[in-house]
Amino acid sequence: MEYLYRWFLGYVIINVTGINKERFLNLCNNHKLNIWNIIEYGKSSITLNIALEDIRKIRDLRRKTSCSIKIIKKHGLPFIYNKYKKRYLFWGGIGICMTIVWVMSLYVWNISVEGNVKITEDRIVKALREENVSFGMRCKEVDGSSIEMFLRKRFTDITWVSVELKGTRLIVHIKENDDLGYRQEDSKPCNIIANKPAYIISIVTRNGTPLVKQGQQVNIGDVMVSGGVDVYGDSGELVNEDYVTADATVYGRVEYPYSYEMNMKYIEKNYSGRKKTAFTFRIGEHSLHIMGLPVTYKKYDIIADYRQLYLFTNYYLPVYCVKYKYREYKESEKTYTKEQIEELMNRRLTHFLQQLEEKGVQIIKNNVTIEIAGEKCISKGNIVAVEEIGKRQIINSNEGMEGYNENERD
Amino acid sequence: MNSVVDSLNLPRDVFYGAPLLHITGKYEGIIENYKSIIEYDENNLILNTKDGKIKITGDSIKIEYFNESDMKIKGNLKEIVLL
Repeated sequence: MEYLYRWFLGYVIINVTGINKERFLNLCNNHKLNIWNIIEYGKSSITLNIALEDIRKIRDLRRKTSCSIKIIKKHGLPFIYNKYKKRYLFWGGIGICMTIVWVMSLYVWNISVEGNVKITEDRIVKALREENVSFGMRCKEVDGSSIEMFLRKRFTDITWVSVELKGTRLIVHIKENDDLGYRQEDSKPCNIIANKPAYIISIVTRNGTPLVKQGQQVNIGDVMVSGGVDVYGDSGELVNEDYVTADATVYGRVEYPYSYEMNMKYIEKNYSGRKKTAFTFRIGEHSLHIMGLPVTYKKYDIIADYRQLYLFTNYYLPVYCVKYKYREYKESEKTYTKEQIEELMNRRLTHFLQQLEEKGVQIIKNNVTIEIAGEKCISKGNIVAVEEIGKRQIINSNEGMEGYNENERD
Repeated sequence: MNSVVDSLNLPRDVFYGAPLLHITGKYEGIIENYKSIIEYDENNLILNTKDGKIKITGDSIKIEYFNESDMKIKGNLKEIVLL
């Protein structure tokens, strides 16, 4: 630490020769000069380090002791400054550099999303672009609360959004909900309506009046459990109509149509093994090729690896280093064999069934057949499944009552 | 005066102006309360103090820093003689 301080103020190494060098040292002391590192240099001569500001006072002392003094080395910031004082372009360059860095920091150069599981970062960034929140906007124009509100409205899966501006990064923190099913709207009276055409297998009503029963076929929109409840008096007469939140579990048999087509002929890529790597710099929208191009292959795959440059974690710059990998391949036309294509079709069907099962759907029958017709292979059929159906529909005061009355009168 | 200082065990460097020497092994030492340097070269350092002289003999003695009140020396110290 001490060294830094001394270097900052500047010091000089001088050589003192003469008989009276010790007297010189004592005099330095008396005049309170800052000296250190006194070493014998040769016969009857010593070198010592002395602070720059004290060197002027040495002239008088030299006369008094009649020693010869030579400056051997100069260290420190004041000397460097003197050397570069006249280099105006150098100082200009520093000024320009600092201005550029400061100006760059006024814009947003990186938007990243954290905490997203189902929603891809891409979707969110594209959605933000519609709201004019994008790469290259002024930091001042970022309005956190309006962005949060927009995202919450746009994506119904998001339960919590928080937008943070760090350096030149716009970080969007998200928490998604895992399909909890019914939203808790217990206070409002509602019906349960069918959300897909189904054949009712079982219905268990916990609240409300059931309007359908086992074995009945319903269409989309049919009211299955009504929120209207009759209140009967002692003598069995209709006294009042009350509206509650209908709650029931209805299982129905649903049919999912499935169809998929594939060509028997396909184009196979044979990688020849030749590869090439190219590097480019991208500043904003302009690219600058560094090495590796042009590519002479006729057909090739490109894998691009973008890396954005940044200083100190949060200060992103609109400069990208892109590494392109080119892999050459030759195309050849081939035909699937019967076994191959059947396996591919089956795999796809299994995936579809798996997706249904993950949602809680129980598959009863699988009527899908695979047929090869000339150049194409078609798989078509129906999948019969049992799943929970039903969706809540809020009763609007007038509508609900009318609908209810109609049903009753029938 | 001397007996008062001695019997009360008062610090002698304050009352007598005696020099203080802190020596760390054969390698370095800090000397306080001296008056001036009489002689200095690589092998000898003679200091003048209120109470007498100190002569330090050794190899490649160098003075790290040097104030009115204290100084620090480094090197291979061989002899310290209080004259």
